[in-house]
Amino acid sequence: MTLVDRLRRIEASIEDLSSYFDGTMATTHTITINAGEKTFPVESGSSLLSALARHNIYVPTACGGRGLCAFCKVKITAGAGSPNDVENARLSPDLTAQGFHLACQVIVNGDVSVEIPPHLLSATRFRGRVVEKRQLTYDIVLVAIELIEPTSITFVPGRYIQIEAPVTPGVDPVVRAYSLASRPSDKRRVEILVRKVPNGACSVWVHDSLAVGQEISFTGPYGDFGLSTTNAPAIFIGGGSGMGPFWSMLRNLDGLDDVRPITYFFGALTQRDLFFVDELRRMQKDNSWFTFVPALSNEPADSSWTGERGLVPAVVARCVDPGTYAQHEAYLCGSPGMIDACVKTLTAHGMQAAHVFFDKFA
Amino acid sequence: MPHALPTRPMRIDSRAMAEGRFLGSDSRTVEQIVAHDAATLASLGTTCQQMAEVLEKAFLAVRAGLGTSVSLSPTLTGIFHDAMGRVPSPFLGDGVFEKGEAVIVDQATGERLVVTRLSIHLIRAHGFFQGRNSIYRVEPSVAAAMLIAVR
Repeated sequence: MTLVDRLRRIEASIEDLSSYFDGTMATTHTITINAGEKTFPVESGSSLLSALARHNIYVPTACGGRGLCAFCKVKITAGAGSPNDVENARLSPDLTAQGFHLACQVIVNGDVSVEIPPHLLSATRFRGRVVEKRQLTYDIVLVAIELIEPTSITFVPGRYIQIEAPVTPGVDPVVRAYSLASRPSDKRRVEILVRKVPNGACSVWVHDSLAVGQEISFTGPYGDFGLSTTNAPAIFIGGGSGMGPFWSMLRNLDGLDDVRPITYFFGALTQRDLFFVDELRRMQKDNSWFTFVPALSNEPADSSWTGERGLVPAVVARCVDPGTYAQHEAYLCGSPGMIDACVKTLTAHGMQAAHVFFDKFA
Repeated sequence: MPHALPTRPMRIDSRAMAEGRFLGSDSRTVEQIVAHDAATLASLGTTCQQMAEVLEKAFLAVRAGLGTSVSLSPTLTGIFHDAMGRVPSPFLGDGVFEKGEAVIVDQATGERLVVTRLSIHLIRAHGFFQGRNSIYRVEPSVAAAMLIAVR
């Protein structure tokens, strides 16, 4: 074989190898958001969740994309394929029939068209530093985070963020949602209220380990809980860390004149579960539209407490004029049990179900 | 009385099973745990469906107390501890369940049960009471004795 023949044989081998790799190298597909509002290329093989995050679209997830929480459901209008076992396990048949998928379970192997709600498109990943950690009660702490990057946040009171808690070094952070409790005008800082839940992965870490000065990341704002644009008199019901969104709403309205009447029922077990009472009483004194009603359900009968007593649904039923429920809107934030009980009471007294808004802790 | 075990094959979500620590410190398989507890139920003359029903009755009564102490019987009291979020079932096809637990104590014996929506479902749908030392294991014999007054 001559040298030229050998070189030609080597060249042919190289061409063969190139053809082989061209067929198997990662290809690029197009993700289309909201019928063309945004489009971007994504390499084949990415999960939709991570592909969206790489393009600053942060779909909420409480499990870091492991298919456990079902928070990352999105509607896919083209290119998804059939739901897998995990999606069938987490989504109802009704949702899958409508084209909903879990973004963490969709692997991009072709062009995909997705519908993303507007509030998700505006969510961002933030890096911040804890500047305050204040114990409000024996099991609730206020955490204030000053923003590092981006340096400001815009949100409507009622929204929530997802904190990334590095609970175990070397392991993906635990992700949990917390309502924003800060004033929207405090653009450089966010505040959240965190209740310590026994065996709670994130809340125990926040209470026991998170330190002032420590950096922390979060995404948001998310959600659609917030005051309507009507002027209907409003009832707020939320206790414990459920005060978070109302603390944000009320401080946003504090000092304004033309505000709809708002009555805030703060349910707690005993006096040791109350916080911000002085501040809320001051708000009541300074704002004619605001009434604050703390209610204790487990306070000893012989204590000095002179305020309302009983479970919060019963206190609401006692305090609200029976003839006015139909005109009211109600805003509830708390555990599913509390919300279910309050919804039952409110609608039984004539409030329209469509006028009851809630942020269920579930 | 025959114990009515679920007959569909178990489709275990091993990731959720591990993440949720449903096996506790138990070295047995899920099937072995289910079989052992099924035998216990049979000896008690009850079924997992009946057990789930009474646990659910107790759970809902305690949940309605919104954190206050609820009397279920002359010796049984329960308190509900709510928590944000949802927890996935460790079995494929089951979905996610709200968090929150009813802690039921027999004041006479000191025996304690912790009941959740998911633990009720696991018993009803799979006969799975969870592994030894799982925080949410429902010990069939303890539950049967404690809840007899709640039926």
